[in-house]
Amino acid sequence: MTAGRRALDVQGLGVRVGRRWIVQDVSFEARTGELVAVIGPNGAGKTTLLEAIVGLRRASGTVRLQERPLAHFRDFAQAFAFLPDAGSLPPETTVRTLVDQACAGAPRGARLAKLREGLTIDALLSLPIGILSRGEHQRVALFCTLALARPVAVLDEPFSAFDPLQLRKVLAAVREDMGGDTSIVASIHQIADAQAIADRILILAEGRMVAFGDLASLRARAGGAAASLEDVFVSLLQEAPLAS
Amino acid sequence: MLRELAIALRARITWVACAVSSLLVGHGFILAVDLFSASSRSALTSKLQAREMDPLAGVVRPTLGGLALALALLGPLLAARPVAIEKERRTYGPLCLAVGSSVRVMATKTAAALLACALLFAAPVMLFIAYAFAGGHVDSLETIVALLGETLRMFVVVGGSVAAAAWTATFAQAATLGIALSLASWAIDAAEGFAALAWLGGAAAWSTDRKLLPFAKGLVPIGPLLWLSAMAIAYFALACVGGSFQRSARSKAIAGAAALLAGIAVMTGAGGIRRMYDWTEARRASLPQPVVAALRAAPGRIEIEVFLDRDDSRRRQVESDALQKIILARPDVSVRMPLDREERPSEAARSDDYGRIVVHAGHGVRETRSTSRRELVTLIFEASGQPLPDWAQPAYPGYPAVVEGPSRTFLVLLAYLGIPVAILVTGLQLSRRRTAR
Repeated sequence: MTAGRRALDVQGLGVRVGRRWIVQDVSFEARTGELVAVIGPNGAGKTTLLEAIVGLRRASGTVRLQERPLAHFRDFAQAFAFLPDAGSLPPETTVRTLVDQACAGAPRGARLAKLREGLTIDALLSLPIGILSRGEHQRVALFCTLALARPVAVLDEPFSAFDPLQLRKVLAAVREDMGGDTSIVASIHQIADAQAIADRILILAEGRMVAFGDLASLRARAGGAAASLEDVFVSLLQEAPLAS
Repeated sequence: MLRELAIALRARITWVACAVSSLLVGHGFILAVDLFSASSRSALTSKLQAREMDPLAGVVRPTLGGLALALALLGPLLAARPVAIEKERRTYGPLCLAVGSSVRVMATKTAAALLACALLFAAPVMLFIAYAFAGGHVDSLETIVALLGETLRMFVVVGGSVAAAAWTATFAQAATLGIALSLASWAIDAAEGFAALAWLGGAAAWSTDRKLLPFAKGLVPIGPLLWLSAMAIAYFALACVGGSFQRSARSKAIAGAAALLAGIAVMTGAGGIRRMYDWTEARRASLPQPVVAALRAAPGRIEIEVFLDRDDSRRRQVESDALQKIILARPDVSVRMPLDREERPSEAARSDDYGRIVVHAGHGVRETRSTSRRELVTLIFEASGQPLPDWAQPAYPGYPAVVEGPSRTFLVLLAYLGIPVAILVTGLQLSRRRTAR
């Protein structure tokens, strides 16, 4: 996928709790129309990093959107839509209530209709949130997040609830919605999924950035021209070059 | 707003709490009606006794006591939930980002919490209407004033609970803190009777229940109205600070402290305002109108010194009757209790001065040992050299009401069965979890 101009620029981002750095000195960028996957072992700080990027955690460093530094919460709110990991939509409501609320704040046009169709939302409208399956719940949550049409969508484990067949449809819908305007930064636990969908990958371990780039550059760094992302990931974390 | 209303009103806990509250209120109501009926039986044959039969004191106030209990203990559960549950579901931050402002989210959730707590008022209102149909007398204006007092209590409870939810991480923490805040006033009031809580006696000026007392008597006190409103607003400001992002823990603490201090400053200023309006039927909480007019026109300062101990029943009587009426007519009257600053001697060791009430008005001084309001007002005019105005006042007729037989059965069924079941059924219908598609 050909990405456009630089949309998101993160420089030296760090989050400290007490004396412990949860995330330290992370820098990367995302271009318009690009999907950046954040991968790392459990406890690497992926969720903390994403929360810091969208302004839900106080962090050192800078976050810029289209070269403009974000300082106040309203700046972050105008820049980002955020889908939390294991966030629970209110079971007291119906899908229609949440979809209507999301659409009310969204720019009108064919884009929303296409996204609804791609994520098969209309079939769920009359249902209460409380009876949705995990995959249906995640589709509704994803729709409500992407419908906001913010320049950058930050998604924490957005695809873990989908089976491979559903994942293809969801990804197709997400890619189509991105078009050339939106960037997505998503933490992805399944490395194979990240390889399949990401334009660039940020590898995080123990709160620090291990590597950032497209698959080709990561392979070159790990020394394995045809290696899978999983092999590259393991190699870079263990600092052991791949066998050619 | 629809989303927030659904979270607040489609939750089973909301309706269970309302049903429990309605039982508390209903039980208080039936006890009050029975006692009032028992007293009314003898009052029906005596005009003098009938005048003492005041439904506001005998029925409305005890019923609202159950509502006050429900607001204090169950209100925090309903009020803290909208914010706390959002945090537990990890959707509070994303919601603020989607809406664009944490303050707007907090405002919407506070509004939803207020609506949920307002459901607690359904039971007493329905019971008062039913009482009127059953032959009792309920004056709408003074009852509305009494309900206004409980509404102010609701605002304070909701504000405190939302603030508690904003500063804590879980619903359990928020509800516990909210209940502790709403019971703090009871602890202050209990300081007089419990040695273990005596250290709270100095905080008497911060008791919300004391501020709300005039409302239960059909009086609208401007100072307490502003005091309670300022408290609710300060809590809301505290909630906005607690629910905000992009602040360090230190800057949040400073901003929270600033919000609290600003609230305390306004509350301290409001506490000194003594203006009150009497909305009781036949204005029975006031002195006769000509006396009120003459008191207001009397020149110079009026000062009253009461040499009675805090636990002397005569002091409570003069404070709740004569002094309250004089202050209602003339808010700038200065009332001093010199014995409060002294160590209390035993009854046998009291000086001969004990029991005096000294009135300073204009250039004159008069004293008495009577707590009669007529006596005290007369001394004010004598001391200031003013003629005593006409004391004629339309008498409050009193409304004795004996509710028995089918009427009582109807009220009992309504209080213990009708209203709670209706609330439960409504709630179960709204909150039912559909399992089939």
